[in-house]
Amino acid sequence: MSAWEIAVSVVFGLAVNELCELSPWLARRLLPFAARMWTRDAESRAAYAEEWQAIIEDRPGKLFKLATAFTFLVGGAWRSAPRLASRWSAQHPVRRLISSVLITTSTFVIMFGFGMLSWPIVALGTALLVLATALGVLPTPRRQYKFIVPPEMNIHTRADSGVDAYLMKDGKITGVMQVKRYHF
Amino acid sequence: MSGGPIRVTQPLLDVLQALLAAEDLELHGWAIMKATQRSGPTIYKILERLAASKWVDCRWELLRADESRPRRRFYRLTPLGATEARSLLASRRPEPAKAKLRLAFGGCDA
Repeated sequence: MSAWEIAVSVVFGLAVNELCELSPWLARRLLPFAARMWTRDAESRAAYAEEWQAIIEDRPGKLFKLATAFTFLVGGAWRSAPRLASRWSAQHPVRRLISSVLITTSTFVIMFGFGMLSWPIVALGTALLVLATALGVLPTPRRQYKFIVPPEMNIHTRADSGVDAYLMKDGKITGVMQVKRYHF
Repeated sequence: MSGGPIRVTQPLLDVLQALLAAEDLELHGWAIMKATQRSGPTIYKILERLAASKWVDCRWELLRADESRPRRRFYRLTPLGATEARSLLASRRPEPAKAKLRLAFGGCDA
């Protein structure tokens, strides 16, 4: 065995050992994300994050702790899928198109990496996939507008970023005015 | 079965069985996972359903002042839940009929 091979095996052993040591820490870091995907209620999220961390503490085995955290993460992702789908459908069509193309490309990159047995390519494809998915589902920050509403008018925002202004008289709606984005 | 969980599944029966078998009808999350051999998300979906149906209630573990680890949450069958769980398990998972004793040699039917 050459000196080079000995060095590689020592470094590889150290890396594996370090990864095992990092697993419980990583597991604890993943759980708040899992809880965030599991429920939208802030109080329940905090409760689940703590409870699941207790499970991770109880569970023997460092890599098993990480595997358990991953099951919670996948469960949370599965549960939030309808929410993500509705966010996806609410996105601008161009953004959805770009995201779709990037998701397809990244899937091919991952498969190519697996085919070539090249983990850096798989990692690159995975990173691209995460970014492409985020592009498709993360909400766009919107400009904040300030309305000065007279007492006889009631304002309701709409899902398509428009605003309905209801004219009220004696507690009854007497007229509706739609305010579109391009009016600002 | 009034006010019970909507969908009766095998994991649900497993969780009920584990809780019924527990001392004081109470277990924490990891103990339920271990007893049922089911994944965490599966267990927690069921526990949410059971809590919504008032079959289980939960309490947080009380830690000593010098303990800094995350608290466990204990799930306990309510009296309603215990009654309903027993009847549900009796109907869905009846005890297997005890095997008839047979002679080790020459016990086969002619």
